[in-house]
Amino acid sequence: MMTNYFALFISLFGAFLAAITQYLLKKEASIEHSSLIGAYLNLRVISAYTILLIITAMNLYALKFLPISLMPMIEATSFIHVAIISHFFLHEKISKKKILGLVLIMIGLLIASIR
Amino acid sequence: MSKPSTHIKAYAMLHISMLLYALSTVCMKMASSNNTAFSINFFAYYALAIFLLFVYAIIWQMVLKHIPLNKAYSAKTMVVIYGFIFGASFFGEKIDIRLVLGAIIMLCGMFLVIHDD
Repeated sequence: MMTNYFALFISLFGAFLAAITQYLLKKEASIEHSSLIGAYLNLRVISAYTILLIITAMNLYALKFLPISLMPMIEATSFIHVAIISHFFLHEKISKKKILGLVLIMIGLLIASIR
Repeated sequence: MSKPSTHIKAYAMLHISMLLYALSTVCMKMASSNNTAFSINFFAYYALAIFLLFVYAIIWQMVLKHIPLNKAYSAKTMVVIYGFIFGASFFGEKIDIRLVLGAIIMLCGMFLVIHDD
């Protein structure tokens, strides 16, 4: 039982990290690059995809102990993380319409994945 | 900020990137499902999946240049929806009313986020 909670934590933390990687990618995309290669071979993009690889490994581990049906719900939390990060760190406006939209996305995801 | 044509191109690329991501997961499933481990098929599907992810990553950066992160990320719902469609067509997974209802609600949510200015 302890393992299950740990696996759940790993998976949820992975969803949070995934949001961090999106922040890194967006930050890098907002900068002007002198070359096309420079837009991809830089610290932020390489770090972001390295972290995503690690997250894949984390989820492979977690899936040994968690039912796969739990995955969409964990993925739903990443929408929350992205919304918070983009508001506070990227200064993107969050309106009531956006919040409603994100809530609908999460509700729809849960309805579709409940078996 | 950007011209209308850039806007449309950016959203077209966003959609294509989501399709590529969904196709990549289809390839991963093809690789793991009915092929014995380490057969030619396994490597071929896995390589294709990686290649698709590679192209997705390139397009995603281009998309993020023009679209705010919230809006771009909300398009991930398309990956879920393509997952249902490809699951049904390639793997015979059943589509029941809950999937359809959930998909419709997700699409409404995505449109609300994207068409918020």
